[in-house]
Amino acid sequence: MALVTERIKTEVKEIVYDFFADECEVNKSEISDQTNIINDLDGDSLMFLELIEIFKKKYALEIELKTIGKYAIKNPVETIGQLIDMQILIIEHENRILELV
Amino acid sequence: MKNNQSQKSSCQDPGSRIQIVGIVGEGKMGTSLFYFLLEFPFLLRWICSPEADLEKFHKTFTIKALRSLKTGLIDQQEHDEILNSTIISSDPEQLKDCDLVIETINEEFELKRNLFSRIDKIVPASCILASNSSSINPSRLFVSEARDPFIIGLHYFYPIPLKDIVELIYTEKTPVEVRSRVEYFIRKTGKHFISLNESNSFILNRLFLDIQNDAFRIVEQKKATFSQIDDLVSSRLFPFGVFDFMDNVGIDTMLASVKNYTSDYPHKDYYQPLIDKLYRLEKAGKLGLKSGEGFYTYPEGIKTHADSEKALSETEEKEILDYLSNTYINASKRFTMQSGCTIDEMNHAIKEYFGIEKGPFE
Repeated sequence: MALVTERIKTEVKEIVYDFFADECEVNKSEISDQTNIINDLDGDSLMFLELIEIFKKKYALEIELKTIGKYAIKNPVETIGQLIDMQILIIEHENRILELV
Repeated sequence: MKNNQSQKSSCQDPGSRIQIVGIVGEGKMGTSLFYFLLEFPFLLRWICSPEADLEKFHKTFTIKALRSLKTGLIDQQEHDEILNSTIISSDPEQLKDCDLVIETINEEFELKRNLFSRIDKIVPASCILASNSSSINPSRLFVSEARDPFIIGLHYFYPIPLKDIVELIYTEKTPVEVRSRVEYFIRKTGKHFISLNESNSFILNRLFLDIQNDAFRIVEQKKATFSQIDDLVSSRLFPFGVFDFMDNVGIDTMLASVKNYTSDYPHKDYYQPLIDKLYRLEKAGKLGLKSGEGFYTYPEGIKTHADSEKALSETEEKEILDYLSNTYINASKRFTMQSGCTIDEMNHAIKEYFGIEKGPFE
């Protein structure tokens, strides 16, 4: 289990906010942890996929997209805040994330 | 986007000889393929249609490259290299130095054939032309005696990063050397593949067609409705419903595909009721999700159905599930034997295709 420091948490949040601001062409200041990804930003599952890929590479994570998919089915993500929390859990637990379900 | 520089050496492997890759088409498959291949050390030429908003595609590409830089996935030099070495254009002449071109344009035979005829005159003699068609055999796209050995099918599944399977379809004219180059290319992108001759092309879609067809016959026999079948299938067999799938793909695309798949089947009459239904829907402009109506209706994009009849009994549900499960297993066995693929290959291919945990032979 990886140790997720405060620095990593801040970094994850920064990347997620920047990502959705870029992809959805909105000002970063308009996004908050409560922002709904689909309803407020018109986001989609492919964006989610791309974001996961970024984190996989950045933190050299050993986790399959399918595993994340299974976790997400049981723990649906709707808001930016939920997505950040899930990403931190993925970095922390990688393929063992399903043990949390 | 991956570190381009660090992977350059593997690109120079003597066996590869595919370094410059062209993608034609800016639909969801073309876009997915472009960004997927961008992760690997190929030089990309993405050719969009004249109607495409090139500025928008450039902007998206630039944003993604900049993001890779900002998140530390690539450094400034790599970022600049990616930007300088990638071409996004509506001019097919940009394909002139390609080793491989993959077309992902609309599923229309004439369009694809005309495209290949045009590209044939632009690309080098040894360039491989691949079609991502899901129903048109590559030999139908032959353009000239010299080029034909270099025309193959390369059938990716959407979304490409998630589907670890590619169907490589070769023709009677495909030399071993061309197959090897393409197999090497696919392996380099980390994908599994199955090699199929044209008699067994698009085997995964054909397999699913058997299930779709039998599901439709159950509805025709008034043993269940579309939504009852879909509810059963999506909760017990696959992650999606049979008729949901067809509505999502598009009724017109489904009709063209089913006709292509069954055209040389000795028992094609067995599929005729489904073909007739698809034809009626298409004629009525009910093209599925994209037109707002198909097997289901989608007011404001949300699926609805008008089923108000009583629920199926447990016995009826079991009977239907047993029937469709048998179709699934039998079709899996038959197509595995026909194709010459190994059981392991087919298990993997089928699991990836349907997005399921266990294959038919596990």
